[in-house]
Amino acid sequence: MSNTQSQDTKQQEASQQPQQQKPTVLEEDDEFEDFPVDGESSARVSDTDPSFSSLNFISPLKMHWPENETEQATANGNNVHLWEESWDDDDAAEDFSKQLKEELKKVDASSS
Amino acid sequence: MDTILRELEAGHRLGSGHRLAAALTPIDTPEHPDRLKSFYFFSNAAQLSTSLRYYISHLSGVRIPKEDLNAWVDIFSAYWKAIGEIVNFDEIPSRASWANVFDSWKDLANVLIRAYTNPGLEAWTIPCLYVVGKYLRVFASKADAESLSQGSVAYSEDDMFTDFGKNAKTEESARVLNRMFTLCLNDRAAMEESRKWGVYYMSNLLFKTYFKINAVGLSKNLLRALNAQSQDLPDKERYPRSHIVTFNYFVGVIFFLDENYAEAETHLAYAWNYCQKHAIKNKELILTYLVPCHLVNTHTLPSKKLLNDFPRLEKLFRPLCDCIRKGDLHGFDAAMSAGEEEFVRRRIYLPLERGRDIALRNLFRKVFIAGGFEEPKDGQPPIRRTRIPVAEFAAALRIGTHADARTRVDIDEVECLLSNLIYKGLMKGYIARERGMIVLSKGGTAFPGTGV
Repeated sequence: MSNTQSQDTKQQEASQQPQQQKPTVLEEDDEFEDFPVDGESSARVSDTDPSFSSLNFISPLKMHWPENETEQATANGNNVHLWEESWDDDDAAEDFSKQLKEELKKVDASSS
Repeated sequence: MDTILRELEAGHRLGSGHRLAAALTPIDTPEHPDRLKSFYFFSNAAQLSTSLRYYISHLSGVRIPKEDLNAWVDIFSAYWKAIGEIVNFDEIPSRASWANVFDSWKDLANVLIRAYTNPGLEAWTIPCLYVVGKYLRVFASKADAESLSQGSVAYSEDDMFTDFGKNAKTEESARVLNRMFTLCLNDRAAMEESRKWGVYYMSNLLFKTYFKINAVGLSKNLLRALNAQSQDLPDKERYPRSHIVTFNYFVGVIFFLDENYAEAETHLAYAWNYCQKHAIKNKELILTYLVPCHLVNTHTLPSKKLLNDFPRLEKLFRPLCDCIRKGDLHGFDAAMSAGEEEFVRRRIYLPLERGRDIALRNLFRKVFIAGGFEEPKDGQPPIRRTRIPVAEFAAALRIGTHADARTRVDIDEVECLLSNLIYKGLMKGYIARERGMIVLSKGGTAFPGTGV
């Protein structure tokens, strides 16, 4: 009898444990984050800010970060430098040629 | 006066949806550390509705129509209850739970959805939908984590028949968010006052939710619904960039998971180009998928400069890139298995694996270059040797895979790899089997796109 009781208490304790965590971090690790410009995350009140208008949410100017805040503007058409060819035309061609000849010899030797 | 109520007033007075939505944001701020508590204690359950009605009908400088007034009283009453559940974590911890927060927040969401139907609140207020939807997802995820951590505890007595799905609350939130999405998409009002301006934001919330519960397939229903209405939706350029960049990221990833890398790259490249410069984490996520796309589509690799700001990606991709460039198959395989766990978790294993073909191409290309030039015929520019014994490719393969003396490399196998590359357009030529030769295309097209 006392057995079941102690189990109950344990359960109660256990159920209280995690609930004592305080609400803290609300965002997750691997997730695409909200951009801060939306203003939705700021709960500040400044009643005199004139930049808010009734069409705030559809006015592209208000809702965009400026062009120069984007990667495109930074790259300025120089996107080429961000990607490289996948092959190497380096000076090691000689080395490879030598290596290849040795390997061919080895194969010849073992098959004869 | 209470901060939240002041935000409510400011929103209405300025006609700013975002200011109004700020009131519905369920967090304390550094400026107002007791923001939630002070709102909760401004009234009690018995008088709530009366005091809210009095307050909202006496906002300075604003006349709110009667039907809207009712809606706002209902919304802020539901909000007040939800805030009470959050405040519990401080006040009565033993009675606080994320499941309760979620349930009461879901009630708020439903009240809000009702307030937007027939014809309902004006469209400028839709940021309220955004913020309520956003936190619905957050609370669902917290509630699911909570029930997971309680595990066996919840598994007792009358709970026997409840849903034990790991993501029960998140799935529930998806259904509510879907209703919000539909509410935006199907609004028939003129574009200036239409909730259609909310479709992409709501889509993004749903994408996040579907990804979380591993139901990416459901995202396609959403895309279908959007496509069906595309005639009636304004040009994407007219939407807030934050909505569209996020949207393109998710659509890109959805195509990516379908192995449609061409479409995926279009969307991811857009997201990359227009992403806010300082949003490092988002840029990292975009590149995580854009780099494999680029490898598959254009066979090019990310430069040091591109990955400069993203040490995690540099670490993830650089070993592979180096091996691809060197034609080092052994190293490539080692790098693939070293990163396997991470690649699988991020679901980029498959396209990266295709990099092996590029590594092989580069290895065979070296054979071609090592072959040198034919004796120049009088006056003609030198031509590379285009007839190459299969044995040379076999030897290269031994080098590339670090084969030791005991390993056999079958000529059949080499021929198979060669014909594969030819089939994929990475090499141009044919195999003359009876002579044991590969005859490659002349005139700088033997390895298309690589200059030789």
